[in-house]
Amino acid sequence: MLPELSIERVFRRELDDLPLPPESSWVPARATVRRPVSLTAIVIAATLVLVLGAVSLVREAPDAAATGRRVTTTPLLVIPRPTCLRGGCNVYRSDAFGYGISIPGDWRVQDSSRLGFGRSDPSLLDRVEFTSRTPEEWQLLVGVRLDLIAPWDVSVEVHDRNGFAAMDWARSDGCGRNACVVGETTLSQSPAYVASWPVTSSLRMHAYYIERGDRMLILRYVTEPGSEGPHGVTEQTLEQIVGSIALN
Amino acid sequence: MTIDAGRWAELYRLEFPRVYRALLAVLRDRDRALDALHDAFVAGLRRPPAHDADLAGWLFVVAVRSARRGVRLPSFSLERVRGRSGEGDIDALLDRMEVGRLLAGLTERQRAMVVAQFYLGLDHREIAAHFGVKTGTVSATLAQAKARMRAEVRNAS
Repeated sequence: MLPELSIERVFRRELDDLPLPPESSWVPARATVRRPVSLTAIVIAATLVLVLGAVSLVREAPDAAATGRRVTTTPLLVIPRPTCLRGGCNVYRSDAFGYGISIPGDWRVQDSSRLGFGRSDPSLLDRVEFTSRTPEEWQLLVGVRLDLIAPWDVSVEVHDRNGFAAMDWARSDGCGRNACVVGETTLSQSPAYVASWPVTSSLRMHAYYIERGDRMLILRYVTEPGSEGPHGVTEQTLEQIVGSIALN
Repeated sequence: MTIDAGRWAELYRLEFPRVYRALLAVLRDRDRALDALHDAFVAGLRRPPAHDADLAGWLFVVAVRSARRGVRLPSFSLERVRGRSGEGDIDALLDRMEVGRLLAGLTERQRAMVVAQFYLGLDHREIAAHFGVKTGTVSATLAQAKARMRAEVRNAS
């Protein structure tokens, strides 16, 4: 039997023992009470600018090239490797970090790296997220949080490797603490360590780690097994995007 | 009565410990629990609940929804590689607890409803209202969860 009164007692007794984080990390000070509203407004505004910037980045290749990233809307043939997806595609190139990747024509760059850059992860040098969602859909899903990856998006991260091997990176990410499936593959003729693990009961992380000298390139996406993504995105779409990466 | 920003911060501070612990039991991850609760706080600043009764339930459900929206990006940490992660501590702590073992076999949604009922003290109607589902759905979800927890108790003994 599981008498409800005794369960309640057990829940209260045990859960009340769980440690709290330091007060400084959660107690809203009076002086800061009003700040989150304005801060949030600033972050929303900045995110909108970011979204508009990302869209113009896709559309205006010369401007993007000036920043070290280049996006072209030329057919995939100009890039050595990738496969064209669903009949049309765009190519995103990062000259600064030495890679190119093709995304379906109806996808776009959701550059969420600038505001959240290095905030929670000092090893992070660059991060670009690719999505099939419209800016409004993405904003609704993720809000002002920039340390999230939206399910069914693909992200490319470049990190300082700090001497650690791909396997260590996978372990640090969550592989091992959770039931993790690992393997090896080749992406653009470079060996890649592949790991996949559940991040919640319904979401699963897939990550590809490629050692590039003193840097670590990580491609990742999150799926919801048994469901289809937005705008008809499937796991196969995401795999194709990952497989399209071309490394300099 | 409308809740202004000052009152909201005060209520949040009061309810934080209980709601944070409830979220730890559901999400089993300190960072996710804290981030989700921060999101709920900001959501309340933007559009506070209509009244301050049952605020813990409101915060809890908004936070659970927020935690489901996206997946927090992992960040590289040497401590994690060396196996000294804070998340591991919470997992281990919950695994040692009877509650942790009971909840371990449930889905996140079942855990959320069980914790809402047995820890936050919400009844089926309140849980249904917060989660935006029918009372029958709550009853069915909780019945399945309790059956699993009973099985866990039987196995353990």
